[in-house]
Amino acid sequence: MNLKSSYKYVMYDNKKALLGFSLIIIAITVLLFVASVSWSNESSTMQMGGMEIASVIFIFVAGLTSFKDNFHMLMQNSVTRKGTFTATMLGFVTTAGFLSAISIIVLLIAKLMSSIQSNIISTSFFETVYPAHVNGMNNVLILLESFLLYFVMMLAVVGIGYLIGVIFYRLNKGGKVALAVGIPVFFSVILPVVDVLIFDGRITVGLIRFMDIVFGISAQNPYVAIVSLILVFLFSGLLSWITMRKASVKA
Amino acid sequence: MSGIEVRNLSKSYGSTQALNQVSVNFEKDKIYGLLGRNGAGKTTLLNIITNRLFADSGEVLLDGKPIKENDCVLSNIYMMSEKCLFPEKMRVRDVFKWTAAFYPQFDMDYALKTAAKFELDLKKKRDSLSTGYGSILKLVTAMSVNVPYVFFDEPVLGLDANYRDLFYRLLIEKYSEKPFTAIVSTHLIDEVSSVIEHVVMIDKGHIIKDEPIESILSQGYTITGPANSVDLFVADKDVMSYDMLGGLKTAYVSGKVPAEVPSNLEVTKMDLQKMFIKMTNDKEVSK
Repeated sequence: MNLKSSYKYVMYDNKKALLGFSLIIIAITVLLFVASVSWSNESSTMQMGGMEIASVIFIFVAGLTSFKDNFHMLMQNSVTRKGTFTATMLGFVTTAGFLSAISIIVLLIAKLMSSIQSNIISTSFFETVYPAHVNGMNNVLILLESFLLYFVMMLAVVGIGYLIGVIFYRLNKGGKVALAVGIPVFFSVILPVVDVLIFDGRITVGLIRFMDIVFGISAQNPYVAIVSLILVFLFSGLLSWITMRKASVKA
Repeated sequence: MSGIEVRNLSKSYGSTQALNQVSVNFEKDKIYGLLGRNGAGKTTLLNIITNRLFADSGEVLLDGKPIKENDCVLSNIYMMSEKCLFPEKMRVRDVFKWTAAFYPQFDMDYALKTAAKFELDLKKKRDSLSTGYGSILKLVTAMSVNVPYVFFDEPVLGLDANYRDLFYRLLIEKYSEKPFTAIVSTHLIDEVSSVIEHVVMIDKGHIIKDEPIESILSQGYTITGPANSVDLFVADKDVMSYDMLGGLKTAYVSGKVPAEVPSNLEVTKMDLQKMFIKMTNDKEVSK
């Protein structure tokens, strides 16, 4: 299997966007610090955080757009669908690891700023969601658990993005339009209306309860979320493979 | 057996039967012409052989091993397809670089020299190339991969006469230096007839001819001379078509050359394109 070359190609395709994105995120963090030092006064405070969410959005888009070009280039070079899928998944693991590391670096920069400039408050996504869990916890362990959570969160998100990309590729024009319109309409119009009119809001309550359980929020256990997100990645990967294993190059 | 063996391939798109129980072999170190009208099933056949498309039934073997989803076997095959599959924003030089990463036998020097012969700008991005230069990029890459089986699907699409001639010359040169199997699918039958050794004709999803070119051309002949003499000579013969130039008439005739031909008539080899038209479009032969 031409796995090494396929993996290298998949990473080459991501490399420029990944580096550009990382530099922008780090630059924004540093600029915010410089701005807060230059223009803030003692009475005002500045809250920093949520940069991890930008990485999650970035990797979702990367997953969504990566199928067609990679599939075509690898097919051109006689790589099987199995090889394409394996290389892509390895690429996603690498990208998720890299972006999680960048998120941690950004977090460290923000924490450093916070310690230098007392009016800057830095709270990570991890600390916001699991405040009781991190309370009194060793800083290194917080970083390690944050890394782990971001890593699996990005894997899950890129897996879902990739699955959507594969489904889009395989659908005909009518199917693409139906999916592109149907999903937003279902979640933003049909589901809320049905929920309010028929179920008296029980669907929303049930969804919130479900999210609470699978992310271990009430239990304040991030490992529940880690396991759930790994399952999402594995399941979306399996569905992607089932969808792409019979895919043909479109004329 | 060695070579590519296509066994009973069938493929349909909805109600359209693109291939119907197609069986054909592509032997080692031969140049094949895959000829057929639009929609005859040429590209479908090539796409299935190269694992880009799956057949409804049947199989393709290379040296006895199934090709389908087989990385090891597929590394012996390269297809220059009509559709360009290289990323739109990839530069010509990077196309060569990445092809070399997948095909270690890729000859970069040859690719660069050939690109120069075609005046292909290495710095240009794929999507900025014209149709002709897009074809040149694909064919230079295909000519440089050095694998035992190379498929060319409409290789000269958009190329001017000079570049088409250059391609045919380079193909023969390359083949003479190190023989390989080239399967050329094209509509330009006249041009390719001087290059190919073996013809596979496909029509409405069926293989209708699978013979050496000499054998096909020996199934007919052309007769040229004064119009009256030609008409008289072919009166009892199966004529495919006629050409007129001034007072001279040429008739394309099916069958063996008769032992006696009037001295004012000249017999020459059959034209492959005329044979092709005859075989794929019998009802439209004009007098």
